[in-house]
Amino acid sequence: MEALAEIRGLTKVFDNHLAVNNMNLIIPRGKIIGLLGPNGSGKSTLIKMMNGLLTPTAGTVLINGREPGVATKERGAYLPERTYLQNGMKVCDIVDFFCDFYADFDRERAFTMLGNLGVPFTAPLKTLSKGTKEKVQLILVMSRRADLYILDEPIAGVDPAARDYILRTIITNYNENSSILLSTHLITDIENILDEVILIREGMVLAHMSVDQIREEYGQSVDSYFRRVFACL
Amino acid sequence: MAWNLDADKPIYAQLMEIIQMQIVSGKYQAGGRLPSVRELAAEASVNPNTMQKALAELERNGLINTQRTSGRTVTEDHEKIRLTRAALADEYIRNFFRMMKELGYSEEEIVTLVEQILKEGA
Amino acid sequence: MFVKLFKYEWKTFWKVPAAINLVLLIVTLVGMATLVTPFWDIDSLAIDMLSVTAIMFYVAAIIAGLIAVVVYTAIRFYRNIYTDEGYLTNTLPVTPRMIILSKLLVSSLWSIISGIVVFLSIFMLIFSAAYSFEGVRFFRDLLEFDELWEAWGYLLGITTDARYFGILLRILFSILYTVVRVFFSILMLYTAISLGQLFHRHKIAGAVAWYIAEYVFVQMVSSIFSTVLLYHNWPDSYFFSNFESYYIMVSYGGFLLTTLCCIGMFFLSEFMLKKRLNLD
Repeated sequence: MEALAEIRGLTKVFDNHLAVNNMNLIIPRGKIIGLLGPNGSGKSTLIKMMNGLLTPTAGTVLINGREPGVATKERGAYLPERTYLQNGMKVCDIVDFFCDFYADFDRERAFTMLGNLGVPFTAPLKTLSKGTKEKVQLILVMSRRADLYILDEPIAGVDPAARDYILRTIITNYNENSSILLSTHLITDIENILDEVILIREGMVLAHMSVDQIREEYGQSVDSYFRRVFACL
Repeated sequence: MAWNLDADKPIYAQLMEIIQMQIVSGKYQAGGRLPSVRELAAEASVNPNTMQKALAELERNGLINTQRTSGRTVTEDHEKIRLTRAALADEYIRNFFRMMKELGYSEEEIVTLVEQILKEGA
Repeated sequence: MFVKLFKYEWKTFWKVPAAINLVLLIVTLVGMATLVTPFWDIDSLAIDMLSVTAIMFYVAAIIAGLIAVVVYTAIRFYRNIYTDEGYLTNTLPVTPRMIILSKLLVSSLWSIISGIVVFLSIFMLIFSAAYSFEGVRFFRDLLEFDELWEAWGYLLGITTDARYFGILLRILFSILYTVVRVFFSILMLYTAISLGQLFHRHKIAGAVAWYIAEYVFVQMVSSIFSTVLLYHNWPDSYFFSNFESYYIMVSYGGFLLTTLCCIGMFFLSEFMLKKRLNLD
């Protein structure tokens, strides 16, 4: 089967600064992949280009063989690091909104997850805390049956209990045809759920390998491997 | 609760150990059904593919079987389970002795210590 | 999908312009209430000064209300597409064309509604003033005013009589032209905001600069256009031998030019969203 996503020669220049530098990646199907790198290494820039929110300076992104557009947005679920919820809406309104626009959205599942995390359905979004808003956005994304989930720092702002719930949600939600690409700098919390990691620095791919490969070859966790790789640079 | 996993060993190997442990300790009875890969992965908070790999290894060892219709079951071969149990016991005791020796105890001293603790009713 | 976009755009958009129009209506009703009472008849300098202030306040309220609708249109477009909300808007499985079109239609509708409300407000105040001067006689006179009925009959006549089809067409044309001009002014905002995104920093200031540039350009082009029409073939050509044909040329030409500009600006905004999107 063809790769889920293919990134070729991808480059993004901001103000004479190379944010992403000639990146080549293949995202296979059925994997949970961690996108790891220090702050400012180009994680969000890469992710935004994959979602069509940034125009590449050079190179291409292909998801299911298509450039970012209506077809890739139908099959891709994206969680940005920003809060995009409009303050005038209620929690149930935004669920309806997703239900209206995404054919693969599972309403039941969204309400189950909101209930489990104790988010009030009729609360206006502007009354929710930042952490709760992040939970709502993550639930909206994970309630879809997408091919590719791209999660930008999904667990940064939530409490440990919710984090466990979210990780379990990620594990149980995906199927063998879909992949999850998630960026983070909190590696310890998620390393057990990853199949593969992509290490990036200064806009370039340093390594792309499986978690067990790192553990077997280097005899250390991804976290300590990550620290070692980035400490000596 | 997520399973306790060490940082420096491959995850699938540790998952195998834990599941073996659960089988010999009777959490999963001989011939009994195992939860699905997804359920086990969620329980352990690990990647389903890794859990799949661990289960596949255990299947290769003959400790679990895959039924076409009813998912995975623990083997009905009690001898096999007994052997696994013995192997685990052997491994733990060897580990224990290795660590005690690192602390500087001789084999006699270790045996004496163990007997003493047993008498105190550990 | 377009219907859904339109629906949600309407749901988030309507509150602000509706509130502005409501305020305008309340101001109008207060004005009407004072006009039908003998309040303004009191002979004193203070009342005279108050009446001047009230009229100024009324005019200011209308202008402020219309500007507020325009500013809200711009803010809504900018915020929903080019700020944090854009992370959702631009990842919906819809084309940039649908996004722009849904916003254009909703804000145009509200601009037109606001225009109608302003007209109604002015008419209601004029009628109230007439009533306070003339009493019920004014309305009776109005109802008995023969020319009014004649005009009405004339209007009915031209809608049914093929001979007056041209006049009907011209009325329809001016309605259409007004709608196109509403599109034009909103698309000017959209293109300015979209082009403002080309700046790395100060994108809002960039949008304002683009808007001023567009405004100056439009003024220049339209004055050149009307001057050329005025002097070209003037006064030899029989074509422009009377003012009416000149006027028709200006309005048809202006309509064509405005429509072409609308199409151009629409595609420019679409291009910026499709091929040059760079969210911070």
